[in-house]
Amino acid sequence: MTTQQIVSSIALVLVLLGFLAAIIRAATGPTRADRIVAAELGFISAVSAILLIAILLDEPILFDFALVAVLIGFLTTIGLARLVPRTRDREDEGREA
Amino acid sequence: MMISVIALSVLAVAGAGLVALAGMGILRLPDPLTRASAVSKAAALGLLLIIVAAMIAEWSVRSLIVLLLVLIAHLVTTPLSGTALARASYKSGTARAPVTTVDEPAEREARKVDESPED
Repeated sequence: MTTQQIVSSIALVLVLLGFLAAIIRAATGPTRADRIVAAELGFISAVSAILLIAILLDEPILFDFALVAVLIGFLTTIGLARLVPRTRDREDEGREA
Repeated sequence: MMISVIALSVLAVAGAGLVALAGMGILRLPDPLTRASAVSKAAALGLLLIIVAAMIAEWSVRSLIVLLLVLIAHLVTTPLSGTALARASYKSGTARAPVTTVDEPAEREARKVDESPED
């Protein structure tokens, strides 16, 4: 193994830790906003994993996947953020006045 | 040759470490606003470092162009999605931890009411 492969394997393990944390938060997270934040962390660690696998296998064609994934992840996060219920508008009307 | 390998190693491990740190933040921090802050700063910077590491690893014109596009798309979109997420969770108004005391939108509203000359 070359140094490049060893280093990208170590980095892949670290990224996997971040992804596992995102899965745990998405499963347990009390509010819907928590789950969407976890989804964004999962997307970022997935793109990082794609780039690190490209380094590991020495396959530059995988960078195209990363480009598509970044753009789709942005749209996904914007779309998911609209799913957070705006309870404050309804419930707090009487309380804050 | 040697310098590029060292730079690649440092950048890749630091970037992956930042993503793992964001994972720790998302588990340990108390409420959605602070968790969104951890993801949109630490994880975004980590991905940035990994992109630069990939640039060093695959040094050719084609992959440089693609990776520059990835870099620009990431830099432009991550603050936007982070802000949209934080705004949505602020407006939903649920579950703010007691330690999260800074509330700038409410302060701005209060100042607007104070400084209005009439009424």
